[in-house]
Amino acid sequence: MSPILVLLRKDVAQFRRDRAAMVFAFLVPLTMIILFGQINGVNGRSSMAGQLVGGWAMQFLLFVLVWSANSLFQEKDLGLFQRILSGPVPRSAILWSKFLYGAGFGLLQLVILFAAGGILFGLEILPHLPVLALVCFCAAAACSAFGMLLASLANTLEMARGLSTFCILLMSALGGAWFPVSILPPFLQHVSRFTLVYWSTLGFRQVLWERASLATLLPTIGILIAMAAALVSLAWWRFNRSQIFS
Amino acid sequence: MQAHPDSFSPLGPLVGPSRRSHRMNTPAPALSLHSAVKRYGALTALDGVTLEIQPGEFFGLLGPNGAGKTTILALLAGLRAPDAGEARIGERPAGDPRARRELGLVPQGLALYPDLTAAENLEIFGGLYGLARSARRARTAELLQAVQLSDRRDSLVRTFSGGMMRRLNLAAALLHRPRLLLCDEPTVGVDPHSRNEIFELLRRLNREGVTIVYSTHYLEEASRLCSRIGIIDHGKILALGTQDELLERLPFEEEIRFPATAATAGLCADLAGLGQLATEDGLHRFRPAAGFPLSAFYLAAERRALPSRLFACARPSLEAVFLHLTGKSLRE
Repeated sequence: MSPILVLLRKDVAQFRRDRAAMVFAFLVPLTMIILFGQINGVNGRSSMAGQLVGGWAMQFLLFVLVWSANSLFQEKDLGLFQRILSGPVPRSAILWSKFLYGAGFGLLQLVILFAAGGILFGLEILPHLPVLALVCFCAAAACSAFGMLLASLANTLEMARGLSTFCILLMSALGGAWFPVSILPPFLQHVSRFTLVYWSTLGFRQVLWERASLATLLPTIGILIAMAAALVSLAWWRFNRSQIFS
Repeated sequence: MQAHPDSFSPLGPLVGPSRRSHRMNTPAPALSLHSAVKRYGALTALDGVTLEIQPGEFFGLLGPNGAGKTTILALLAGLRAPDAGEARIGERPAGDPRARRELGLVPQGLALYPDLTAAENLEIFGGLYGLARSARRARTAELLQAVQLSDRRDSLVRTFSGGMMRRLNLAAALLHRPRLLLCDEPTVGVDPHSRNEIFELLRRLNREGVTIVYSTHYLEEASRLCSRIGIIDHGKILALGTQDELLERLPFEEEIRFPATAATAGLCADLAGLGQLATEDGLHRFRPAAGFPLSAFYLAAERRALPSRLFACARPSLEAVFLHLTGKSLRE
């Protein structure tokens, strides 16, 4: 079995044991979706349903994936990289496993939360499931890459936590996770286009509200993939110069 | 402590069958450093270290914290590259993928996943070395038995005592049957029972042909386990040899121990300049300078009317060698 798969399995096994992470990944966003859905009187016939579910799901996905990337610091402190890297395992295997775990986990989290949205608000999920899953995967990959970039920029776990909380809240507000971007001033509407939350929520809206075809979605998906590629490349470059593997 | 050809192991060999033939056919040292220099910013961690460790040796690296022991192991494990000089595993440069497969590293930290079970940890590290599932499982069971953790195989590592974690830390380095084992202070914070179990396992591995490099700042461990010892301080190897060879460097054959009391304070003053006097745990240790006869010591004691029962002659330890070489105690 490839080292990437072994490390992926390790991350999955760790998550299965971490009840707090499970609650934070699924239960907390679900509670927020229900709460704000009730406050705003959201139902499946309004565009708010997709916005609400997608927005909260994205914000919590970012938190979970950034924390997952930050586990690199804990693994470093435990001396695990010394053991792993003294064997026939390249650094890239550690980074790829974190990225793929994040993308896979994100896909699962988004699909589960959208399924819950379908039950709670009557969102039509099943007819669009393949396209929705594709958008979810691209969004999750971009979030995973973003988490890795933040971890690569920080020197310590504390710094990574502070930086990530600030960036996630800012990006969620600007990107349309909390409210539609259209209510922002024109300048901020332009700025929001630089966030992955904007393109992810746009993709969700296109699938669930506008019933867009795959061809129509391609630019949105393309931008998310390009963001994931750019972020992960930057993270790789930073990790190779950081002390995390020393 | 060389490999014993007739060693019997009830659990089956912990290393593969090809080790001894490899040893006999390999003229090169198992591990070597040649004029290795490593700097961390302004700090020179290793200053031109040259070291050769032969196949089957149980080699001890003895020195205080910050002496450069961990850096030597990091170079040999291929985790860091020297700034000058070279590190080799057999005939290959350290860090070469084939060299890495021959190595097992027991890091100083407890390099284990605390939220996974003992068995899961071992299976993950076995998987990273490419062991097939069945081999991984068999090896995990074998090693858990060897470190006496079979009954805790499904317990989370974070519930283990320090000693149990240390034993598992060692087992995790043995999954791929390494020919060379690098141990970086593997008994730090361990209870005497676990320490003895770790020692027994290491001795058994060495008997089966594994070359072991054992870094420690405990001189009792180095003298108990190692067939050859390198004393290191400030990034330099100060002395290298068997324990007897190192003790021969001392200008005296025996040291005199006597209680540190008010009654012996005057004698201590008389001995000033006649040798080294160290005090530890309420006990003075007088190490006479070259040419100073023991009879002169007893004469000085008699002048102070101190009874001879207070004094005991003993063979000096590696601590005395370290003190002789550096002018300071290993514990300082």
